[in-house]
Amino acid sequence: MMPLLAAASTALLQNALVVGAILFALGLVGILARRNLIVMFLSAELMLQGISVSLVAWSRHHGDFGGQVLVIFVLTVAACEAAVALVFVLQAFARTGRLDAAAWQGLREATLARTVDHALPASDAEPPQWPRLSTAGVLPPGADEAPLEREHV
Amino acid sequence: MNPLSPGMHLVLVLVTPLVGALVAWVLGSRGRKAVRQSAAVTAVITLVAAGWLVLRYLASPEAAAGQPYAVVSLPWLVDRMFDVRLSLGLDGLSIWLFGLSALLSLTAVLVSWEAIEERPVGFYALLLVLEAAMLGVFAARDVILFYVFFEFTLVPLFFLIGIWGHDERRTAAIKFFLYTLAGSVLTFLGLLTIVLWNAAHTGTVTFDIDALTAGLAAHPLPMNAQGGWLQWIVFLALFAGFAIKVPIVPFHTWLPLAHVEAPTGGSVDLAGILLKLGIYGFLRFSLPMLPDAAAAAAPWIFGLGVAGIIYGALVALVQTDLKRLIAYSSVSHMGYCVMGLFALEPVAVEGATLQLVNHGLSSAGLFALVGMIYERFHTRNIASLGGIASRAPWLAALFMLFTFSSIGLPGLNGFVGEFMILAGSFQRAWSGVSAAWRPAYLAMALLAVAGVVLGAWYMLWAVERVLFGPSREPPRGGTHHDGHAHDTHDAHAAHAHGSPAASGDDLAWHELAALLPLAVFVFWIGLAPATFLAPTAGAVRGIMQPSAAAFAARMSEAAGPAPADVVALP
Amino acid sequence: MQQVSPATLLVLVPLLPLAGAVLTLLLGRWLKSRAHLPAIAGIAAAAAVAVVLLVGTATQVGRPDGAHAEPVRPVEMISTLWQWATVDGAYTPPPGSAAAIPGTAVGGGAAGTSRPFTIPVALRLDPLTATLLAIITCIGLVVAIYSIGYMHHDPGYPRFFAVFSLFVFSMSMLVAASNFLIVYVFWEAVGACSYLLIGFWFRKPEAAQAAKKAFLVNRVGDFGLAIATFLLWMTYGTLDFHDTLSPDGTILPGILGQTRLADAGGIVGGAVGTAICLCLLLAACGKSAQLPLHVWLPDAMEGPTPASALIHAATMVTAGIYLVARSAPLFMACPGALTAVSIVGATTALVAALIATVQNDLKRVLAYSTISQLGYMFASLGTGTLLGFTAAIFHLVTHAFFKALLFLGAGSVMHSMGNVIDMRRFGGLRRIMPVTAATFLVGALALAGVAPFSGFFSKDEILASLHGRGWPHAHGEHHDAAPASSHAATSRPLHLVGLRPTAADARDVDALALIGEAPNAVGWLDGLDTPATWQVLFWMALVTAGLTAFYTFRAVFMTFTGPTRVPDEAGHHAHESPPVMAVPLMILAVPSAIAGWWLFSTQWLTHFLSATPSFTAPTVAATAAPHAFHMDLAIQGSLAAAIGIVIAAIGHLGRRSDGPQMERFLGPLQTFFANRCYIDQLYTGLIVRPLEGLALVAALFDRHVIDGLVNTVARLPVALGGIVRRLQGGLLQRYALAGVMGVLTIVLALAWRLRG
Repeated sequence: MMPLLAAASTALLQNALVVGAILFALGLVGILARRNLIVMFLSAELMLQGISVSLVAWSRHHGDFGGQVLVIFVLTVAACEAAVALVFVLQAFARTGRLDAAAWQGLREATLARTVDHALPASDAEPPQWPRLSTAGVLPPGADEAPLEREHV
Repeated sequence: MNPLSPGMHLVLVLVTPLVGALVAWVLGSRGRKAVRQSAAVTAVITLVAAGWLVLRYLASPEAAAGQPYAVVSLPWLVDRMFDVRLSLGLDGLSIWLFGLSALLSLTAVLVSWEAIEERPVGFYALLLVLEAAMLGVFAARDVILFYVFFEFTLVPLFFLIGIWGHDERRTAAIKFFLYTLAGSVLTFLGLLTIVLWNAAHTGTVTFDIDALTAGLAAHPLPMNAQGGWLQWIVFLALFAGFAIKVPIVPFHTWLPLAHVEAPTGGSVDLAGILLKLGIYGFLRFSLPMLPDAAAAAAPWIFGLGVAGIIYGALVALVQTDLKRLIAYSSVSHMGYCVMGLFALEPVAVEGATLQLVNHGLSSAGLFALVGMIYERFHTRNIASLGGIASRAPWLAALFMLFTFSSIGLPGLNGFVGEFMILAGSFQRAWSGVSAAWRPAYLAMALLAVAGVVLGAWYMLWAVERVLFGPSREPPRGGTHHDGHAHDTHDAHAAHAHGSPAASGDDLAWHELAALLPLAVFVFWIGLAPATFLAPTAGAVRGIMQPSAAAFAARMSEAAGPAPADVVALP
Repeated sequence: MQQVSPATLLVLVPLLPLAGAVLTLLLGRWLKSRAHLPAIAGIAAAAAVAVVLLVGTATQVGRPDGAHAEPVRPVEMISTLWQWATVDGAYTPPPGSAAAIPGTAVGGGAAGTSRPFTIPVALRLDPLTATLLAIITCIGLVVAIYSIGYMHHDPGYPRFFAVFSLFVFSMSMLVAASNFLIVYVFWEAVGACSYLLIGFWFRKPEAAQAAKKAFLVNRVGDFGLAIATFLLWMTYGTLDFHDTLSPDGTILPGILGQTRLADAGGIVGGAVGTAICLCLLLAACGKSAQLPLHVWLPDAMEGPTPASALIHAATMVTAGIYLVARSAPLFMACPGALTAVSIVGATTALVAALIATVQNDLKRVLAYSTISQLGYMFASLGTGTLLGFTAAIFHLVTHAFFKALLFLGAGSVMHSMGNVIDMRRFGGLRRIMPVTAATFLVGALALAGVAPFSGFFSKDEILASLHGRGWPHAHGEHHDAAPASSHAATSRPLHLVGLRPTAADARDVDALALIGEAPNAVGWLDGLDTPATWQVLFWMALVTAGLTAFYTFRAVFMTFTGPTRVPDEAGHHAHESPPVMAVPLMILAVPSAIAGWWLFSTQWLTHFLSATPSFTAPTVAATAAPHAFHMDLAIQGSLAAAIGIVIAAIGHLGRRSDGPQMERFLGPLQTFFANRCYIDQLYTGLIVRPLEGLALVAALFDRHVIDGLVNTVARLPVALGGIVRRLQGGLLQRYALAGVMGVLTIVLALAWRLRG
């Protein structure tokens, strides 16, 4: 029986894999080097897409739909995940007013000092006035305290 | 199963304290008195049942034939070949220690009668659980079951020390627990190795101690470079746990701390029974299963025993805390047991086995008395005590009795074991070792005898300072507060001021009831030790025989072919 | 009555006082001031039984027949009560060693058969035991009666009688036991009773300390006895004195059994034998307060005076004499050890007498006198002749009477002087206390060795035994009667007295091989056994006799003569003691005066004792000498005593007793003796303090090194965690980087692996 998807040439596979690898590497560097949560998130997506490209390429190479099905599935999951992750990022920003991953060092050992590398230049813009929703009940304690460090990234 | 069959009887003895713990817990809402009474009743029932079982054992044909008695074997963790059983039974080695556990548990309950005011439910429940564990460890005939009981004695005592102890109770409890656990984990590995080796060579995975002993006798662990010195490694693994438990110097430092911080009831059980587990372990496992390694290590462990005798006595000599002094005396006395055991002579090993019971009686009595002194005067500092003999003559008389027992006065129990150990050691030193070892052995035996003088020195010094001299009123007002932030002691101090114990300092009925049974056995063993030696003789002989033979073989090897001075052991 | 077997009677002797002790203890609170009743009833009954036994045994031995042609038959009876402990097959004697049973033809105990470790609680009756049992119980009875008056009103009245009775029990068992282990048991038991009685007034710190000291010093002696017991067990494979019948019908020879004694080579000499004997000697030194272990006895005077009289003068302290006499055959095989016994004894006698001359405490004078007299007995025992052994026991008997009398007299003085015992604070008491003074004088005359009081005869025999060894040719009749040593051939020069090589030499060599270097020391010790040594010892004994007379009469003169003075503490008590105390004094004065003469002139005791199995051993029996009264020695002894008494009279008779005492004679020596030759300080400085220092070091070592090590080990995981925890910076990128690096490493490793 003739396969539905004929096996492609090795050259196509190679090219696709190179593209996938480049995407993955870019994402990795982005995750490791950037501290902005949103950028890191985007980088993670980039890595995922790199993998997806290689999956598709291999799928094509082997003439098997499995890989492509999986990619579709991954994309779906990634979309959900993006929604959840962005909620966390937003919440993190709402808590600290920052998108710096370094603001969240609570997992470190209690005896170690906070890691502070070079500080970002202070913003000359006016601190934005965030809209406040009227409280429905009692104001939770500490809600009106000043933001922890910097207002924005 | 016939409820009066020996096996069922044994199971009932083991279960009774657990039921009693449950009852104490249920009665917790009725207050301290109800709890302690129920605990005492449980302990008495257990003691009577255990004593009856001991008598049945002595009268049984199994005892005469050297067979285990009251054997129960139920499946427990069984999965195809893997067969861990709830296997219980008593034999000549364990019978007296089993009885002693039941006896001392009653003592522990009675000495806590007034001393424990806070959270009595937990205290008595734990004390009874501890009793079950102690009884179980001597009745276990399965390696895993033994180990479970062996470890389970730690848990109740950990809480007893940690919750009802004195100022540094937390440190003491943690140190005690971790130190002994660290050793016994290695012991567990050693025991597993034995099981696996046996399984590999006999084809059956058995955890039964007797089967393992037989299996290892047929297929000994290798004691050479080709076999990777496996027997040595296993011996050292077992040694780690047992030596810490004994404790053999220099693994003893947890003991004084644990004793000083423990509540009296805990000290009684700790000194009376738990210290015996190490020696019991050596007798149960190391000597019969690993004879070559035991024989090779014997001179060194013998030496450690002697070092412990002298060292413990010397350190005891400068203690200022009465309880710590007695704790170090325990170190010294356990040195005699270690020495006797590794002399590998019938007289010495039987003496050491008897000495386990003797030390259990005398040290438990002394710790109980120190607790009573502390209840009355709120100090254990020898310098602030004095003249108790004129205030509390019965207390003083019993203190003297247990002191005499402890320093081995003939006619009392301590002497019998000590003398047999020393006689056996001399015999070993004189004609049982090769010429190269003889001077060292003789010197060690002489040192051990000199330890008897030192033992009398520190104990009589303490007696002189604490019991004799002009009657002294230890400062009551402030001193008991400074160290004792714990509420129990404040509450108790307040109580003592108005209690009968403060006005008439002599023993109350429950204290007499705690001590008199011990005193009876102190005399009984001293005057007719044959009663107690005879049932153990066969078991002990069988257990030590392989090691003694291996030792003789080593010594004749060292001395060349067929020397005249090596004793061929029976 | 004739249906009662001697075995039953023998058991009754210790049993009755034990029953008395238990009853007193149980009923003490209820009996209150009548608490002496059970104790005294028990001791009295025991005394009666002991006398019956003595008479019975004497009948068995028979009368002295005058001629010594026929050796005396040994008389002994064994009664085994129960088996104390048994361990089967405990010991297999190495073939051909000294430990093998001698005379293998006798029993089935051929070398190579394993031997059980069997300790029977067996009592024995022989002349030695019968004599001592009678002494212990009779004097015990008299002292107990005296105590009714002396201990009157003491709050510890029942306790005193309970322990007192317990002591009589223990002491009876000690001399009746027929096994070295049981001897050891009661050796310590009498020590414990002594501890309890010295510390009787435990509220006094001095009493408590003295009790502890007595026990500890005795423990050092017990150490010797323990070692000796172990060595005996190793050498002979049994601890029994007597022969026992093993289940297979063969005779197992005891150490001092007749089987072994009949065999010339049965007793092991040489290095092992000497070691055993020296250990026994150490034990005897502890119990009998001989140098260097005598320091406890003077302090023991803190106890009640009746206890001092019975325990620390008449009976317990003579246990050492008993032990050496009982082990006579063992000592006979080791001439060096015998010599050591005499040297220790004579030295102690002299030193203690010197110290006694400057004591001002009446009881302490008597205590040092006791030490000195015990030294006398040791000197006599060490001569190793039948005369020496019997003379020692003879002196033991007379000494028991007169020293108990003197102590009770001192107690009577103390009682009426309101517990003041310093002789400088009273004087001229003969007018206040005529009975006490008269009886005390009798005791003093006996102690000083004035004829015809009892001490004179026993002391004369001791001097004779020493003289016999120093000048063997002067006593021509026992020319070749010196100890026949089984060891002689190997280590003694041939020109010494009494060499007699025996069959034991082959075994001896083997025994020597067991202890590498010891033979040299033994040889040196044996080398001391020369007539010159014995001559020195004799002169020491003679000087001691003079000193004894001096310090005794110094005490008599200071206490009873001169102007009458009474300390304030006495109050209305300053009168003669009540009859319950005075009558015992009179009772004791009778034997103190005449027992010596009677026993000496009839030779009854000597003959009786020579039927003791230990003394019928060929080595001992061969030294028997015809009974003789040595006029020259008697004159020398009496002269020494007379000189002593005269000097004492010059110094003290009729003077005020609080005047300058010995200082004017002795100068700095007085300080030296008054400080007991600084021996206590020496022990404190050389033994106690260093040991305490060592203990302190050990305690510090324990806390800081051993426990420190444990804590260090416990800190290791924490320290390790301290290093690793630095990696937990909390920075997300670093974690991610670490993860990436990890994956990379694995990938690279896999690639490396799959490369080829």
